[in-house]
Amino acid sequence: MFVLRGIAVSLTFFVLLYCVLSLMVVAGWRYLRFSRNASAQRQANLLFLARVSPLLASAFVTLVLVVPSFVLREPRSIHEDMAVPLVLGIGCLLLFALGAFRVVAALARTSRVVANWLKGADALDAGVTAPTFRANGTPPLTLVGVCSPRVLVSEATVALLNRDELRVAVGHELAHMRSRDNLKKLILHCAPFPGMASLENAWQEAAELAADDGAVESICDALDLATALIKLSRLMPVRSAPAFTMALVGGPGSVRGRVERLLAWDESKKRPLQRRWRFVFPSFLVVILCTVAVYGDALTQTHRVTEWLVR
Amino acid sequence: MKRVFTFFGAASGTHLGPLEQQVLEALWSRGNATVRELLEDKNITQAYTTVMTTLDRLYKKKFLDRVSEGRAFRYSPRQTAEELRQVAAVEGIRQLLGSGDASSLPLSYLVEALSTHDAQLLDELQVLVERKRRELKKAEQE
Repeated sequence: MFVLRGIAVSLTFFVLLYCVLSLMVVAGWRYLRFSRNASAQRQANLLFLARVSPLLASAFVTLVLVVPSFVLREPRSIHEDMAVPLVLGIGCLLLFALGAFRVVAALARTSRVVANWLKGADALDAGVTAPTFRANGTPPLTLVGVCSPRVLVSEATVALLNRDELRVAVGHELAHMRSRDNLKKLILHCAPFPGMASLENAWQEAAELAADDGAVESICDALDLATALIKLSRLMPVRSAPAFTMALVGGPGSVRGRVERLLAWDESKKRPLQRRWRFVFPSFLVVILCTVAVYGDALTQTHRVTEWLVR
Repeated sequence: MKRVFTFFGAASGTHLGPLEQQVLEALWSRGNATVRELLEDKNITQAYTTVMTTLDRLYKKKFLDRVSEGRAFRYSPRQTAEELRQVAAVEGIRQLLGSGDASSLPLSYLVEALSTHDAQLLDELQVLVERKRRELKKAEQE
């Protein structure tokens, strides 16, 4: 009974906190301000972090505070009314099940469509090291797969683009691959919440710009990618792309904006990535020390809050 | 902008005259104003009473809000230019879709117009890219 109550209380706390934080993100993400020289990659990373922050924060608080506070502070012999935590806990489990079903359904659909696309596909030498296939009936240029991503190029794309344009266009998809954008899409699917669509679109738009930046090494590359974008935008889309794929054209963000951005490309935009990792370890250490210092009190307070919530 | 007003007028059945358009644009640029303030800008050269009547008419057509300020009124637009454009577009498209005998026909006109617009836009972008390429080649040769 103790374990059952603990699970129900933890789940309830998790979902309530997740909903509150998600509401805050839905209302406040538009006020995110980026510095003028912030790269598209940085903007994409921040938008993604904003989107998943409710899930991460709720999971962190539940696992680090709520569960231990229940185990350490809750008297085992007490006989409390189980009705409220049990109903809320079952509600939470149903929500989890819904989220899981959503992800599995989207994964199944993506796998089915990609398997169809890969039927009769041939390996394509696009001047890059990543697995690239020429296929029929696919969108012009797509990155498919979450764990083992592959680039699919349609017959029409191969016919339309010259070798340099094709190389840099495939390079765009490789930039998505390096950023693990399909995996990020899957994570977003795991954390549904109404009203998040605009934030997800903003992230996807920034991810496209970041992939453009990642593919371009020189102004010639920038012009080749701009030409590829224009040529492929003239093709009619085959059908709506499945969930866990990234396409060069047809996503959010205007072709015009991307082409104009590529035309304005200069060497200064190819800055080396700043190594921010050296700040991560000290920050992590500070967080750990602070948590340890106030952990006892925090557990007591958390236990009070959970007691109040389930009564 | 004129096309927006024409479209809006035709779409909603609320016709806006040239002076009404001029006054509304002046209010958009100022945010809010009294008759005297609009006349002080020198962009509107009509008589005081003409402008006052125009503002009153726009208020009655629900384009403006007003609050009394002494013996006069201070007017402010109810919608931004962008919002009005949106209303005009939505209203116009709704009328277009409801106008044909075959319901799919107006939609096909719309798709055709959008496709033509897209193609033109892509042509323009291609020209820009080619121009940039030529500039680069020229710079390399020099």
